[in-house]
Amino acid sequence: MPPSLPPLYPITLQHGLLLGAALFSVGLAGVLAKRNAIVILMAVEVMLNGVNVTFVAFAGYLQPPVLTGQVFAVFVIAVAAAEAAVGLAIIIAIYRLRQTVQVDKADELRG
Amino acid sequence: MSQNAWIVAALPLASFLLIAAGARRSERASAWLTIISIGLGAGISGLVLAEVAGGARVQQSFAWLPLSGAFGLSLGFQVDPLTATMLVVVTSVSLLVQIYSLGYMRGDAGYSRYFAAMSLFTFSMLGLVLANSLLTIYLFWELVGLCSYLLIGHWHERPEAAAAAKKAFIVTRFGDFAFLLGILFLYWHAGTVDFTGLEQAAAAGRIPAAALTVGMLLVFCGAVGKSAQFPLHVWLPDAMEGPTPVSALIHAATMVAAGVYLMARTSPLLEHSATAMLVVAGVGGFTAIFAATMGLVANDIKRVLAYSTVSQLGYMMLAIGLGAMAAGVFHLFNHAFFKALLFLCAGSVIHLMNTNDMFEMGGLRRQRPLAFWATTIAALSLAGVFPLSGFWSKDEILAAASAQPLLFAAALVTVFLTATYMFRVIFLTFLGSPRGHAHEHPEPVSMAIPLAVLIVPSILTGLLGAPMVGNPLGSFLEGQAAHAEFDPTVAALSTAVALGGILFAWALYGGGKTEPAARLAAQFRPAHQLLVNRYYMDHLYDWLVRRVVLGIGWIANRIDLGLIDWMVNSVGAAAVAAGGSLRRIQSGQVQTYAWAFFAGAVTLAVVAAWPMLMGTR
Amino acid sequence: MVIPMELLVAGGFYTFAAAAIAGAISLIIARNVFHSALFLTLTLASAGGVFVILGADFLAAVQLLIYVGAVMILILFGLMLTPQDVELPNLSTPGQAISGAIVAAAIFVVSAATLLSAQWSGTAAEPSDVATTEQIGVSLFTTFVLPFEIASVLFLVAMIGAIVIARER
Repeated sequence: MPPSLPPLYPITLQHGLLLGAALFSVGLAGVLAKRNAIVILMAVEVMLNGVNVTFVAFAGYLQPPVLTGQVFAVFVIAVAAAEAAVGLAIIIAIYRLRQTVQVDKADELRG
Repeated sequence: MSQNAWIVAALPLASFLLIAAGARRSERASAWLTIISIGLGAGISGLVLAEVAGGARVQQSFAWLPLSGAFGLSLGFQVDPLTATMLVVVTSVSLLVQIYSLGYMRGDAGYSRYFAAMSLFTFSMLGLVLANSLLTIYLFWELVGLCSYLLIGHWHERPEAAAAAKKAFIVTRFGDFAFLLGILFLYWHAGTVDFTGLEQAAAAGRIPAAALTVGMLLVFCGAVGKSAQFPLHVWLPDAMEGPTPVSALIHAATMVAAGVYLMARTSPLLEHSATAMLVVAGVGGFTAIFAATMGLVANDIKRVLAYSTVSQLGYMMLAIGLGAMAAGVFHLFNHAFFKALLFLCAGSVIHLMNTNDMFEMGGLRRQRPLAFWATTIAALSLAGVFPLSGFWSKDEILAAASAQPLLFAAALVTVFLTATYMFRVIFLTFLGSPRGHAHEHPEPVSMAIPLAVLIVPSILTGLLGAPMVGNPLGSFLEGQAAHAEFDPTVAALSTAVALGGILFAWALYGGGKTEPAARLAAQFRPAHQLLVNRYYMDHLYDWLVRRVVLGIGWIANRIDLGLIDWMVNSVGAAAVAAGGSLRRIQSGQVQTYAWAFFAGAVTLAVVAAWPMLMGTR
Repeated sequence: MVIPMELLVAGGFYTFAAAAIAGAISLIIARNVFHSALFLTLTLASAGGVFVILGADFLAAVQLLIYVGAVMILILFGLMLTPQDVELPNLSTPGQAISGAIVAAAIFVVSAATLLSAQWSGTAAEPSDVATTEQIGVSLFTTFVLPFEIASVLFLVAMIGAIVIARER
């Protein structure tokens, strides 16, 4: 079945999923295109939020309702928080070492 | 006892292993282990011979490498008249030579090593004699070659000895390679390498005539190498660099006879190919006269004996090629004893004079009377003077050759030459007045005993094949009543020729004179030079190796460096270049990697979702 | 006049969705890192609004508390501790930026096409509207107790790891 847009309203599962995909893609664009490591970390958070939106949309529209999606989102948020803490620690360590957080300056593994 | 004839070979192997394992620390233990093991072997061989004479035959083998169907390889041994005879020859000569070595090698740094190698050699030679298939014989054949190498190079610190050892090994390898090809060829056509199987196949005509000829000629190449026949004879004179007892045992009595033994063993096959027989007889006859002429001018006493050996081996080949297998083996049998005796006598005078050059000897009759008499008897026997052993066997060969005028003439000329060079040795060494100075010391008893003992068979073994008593050895070997070929004309002719040879030698060297010989040499200077330079055969081989083989090697080296190496290096360089361009991808930029990861992921996703997007699923 | 519930829900959804996406895009485009952080706050808060509309009121609260409250503060601390680059942040080289955007767009197109062409069965026409806090709490301590405990270990590890890595030597 070829893709077709859902009606403008009521809001359906597909609206939620589309929003999740959009947030994920925009976050990915940030990850791939930005130089500053902290901004990249922020973009990763945006991607995780896109995933969370998808989880929540499924949890909201599943019939009969099952809350597993929301529980997963809770775990995603927890992991994201931990990731942010460790990621920032690494960024600070790199900054101490070379006075910059530009990711393209860190190329010790150049072949 | 003949059921367990393998014990004869196992005994020297055990002694070799014991010496190698630790007995080598004691020289006496090494020597006596060798002597006792071979002595026991000689006793058992005698018993085996008696049993075989009583009709016993043994044929035992076990599958070594069974292949599908009737094919397969087996190892085994057999005992028949030929084997039993050879067992006795090998063990008895070996025993006497070992006893002689006790005294001769005394004080040598490699005393234990010498006896270890001698044990190994005796084992190999006995294994070769016991072998019941071409493959088994080939195994021991190579082992014998190895021992020969070890023993020629016993004094390896001398460059000549090391070079001679290498030469012997490499030259015989040529023949051995052809021999291996011959084995494979015969196996291919007959499906077996057992002698009995091959004989049956040949008798039943299952081997094509041409294939049999080719196969036997290849096998004969092996014999040519081992028995130092023309054109692979060049190694044997050089092999005299080894200790004299080694020359006596290996390069006179036994190992060089292995080629003759091989041809005798395969003579039932040979008989089916007239071409191969003709070639064998021709090579044998030519070698006989060819080597004898070189023996005329050699100054080294051992080299004279070496050329004599080559010449006599040619005689044996001639006999086998003429179909007179028993005559050839009979001559081998006699030759083993009197040639061993000659070498041991030569060793005795070399031991005394510390030189091999006969022109530095002379008048040794007084210092070494035993050696003098023994040499004289053995030389008469070798020259074929009635009634010594050599007379009977040589006569049998001459009688067999009488139908072929050319070969008969060659054999007869060889008789003359043999008598001449042997008595040249005696006149130069033992008669006349001393030309060198002796390091006078008494001869060890252990060296005298073998000389005395060997005189007996040198005189008497001929009677085993004498026509008056019905040629018992011939009947024994042939398995049927052998026709006692005795032609009084031939016998008289050969004896006369031999006596003529002795007189000729007397004319040239009699009474210790050397001037007549020198005059004759000056008169026929080109011929003399040709002989002294051994027909330039060594020069020819040297030229062949230097120019042709090394030239081909040079070309091969060029190809290897220029083409093969270039190809291999190019493959490597291509890999390096590919890596060099691929490493640019490895930028160290994590974002680039992430980009590649997601680009791959999206590509996979498109591929996976494609059917659904197109609405086909 | 009574506005139908459906319309209210749709309006809320579109508003929050537009804000979230606009915030995310601005985050990328912004030249100043600090501005990016503020746009991130907008995106996260809007995502929390979407959660409310999709019937996940507890998650919306968690979102605000943890992301806007904790993660944002953490990121601001990070900015503060790396002062050199505050004014420098920018897009990478044009080639990398454009290729990154293309891959991201491709991912969006593929996933959108897939989810729009899929047959979604077993789903309701409207989001469920039940109190979720109690249910989530129960399932966290029953069905998902093991992941829950593992998550707490993960926090411990992350905390120690962050301290060790960021410590001055």
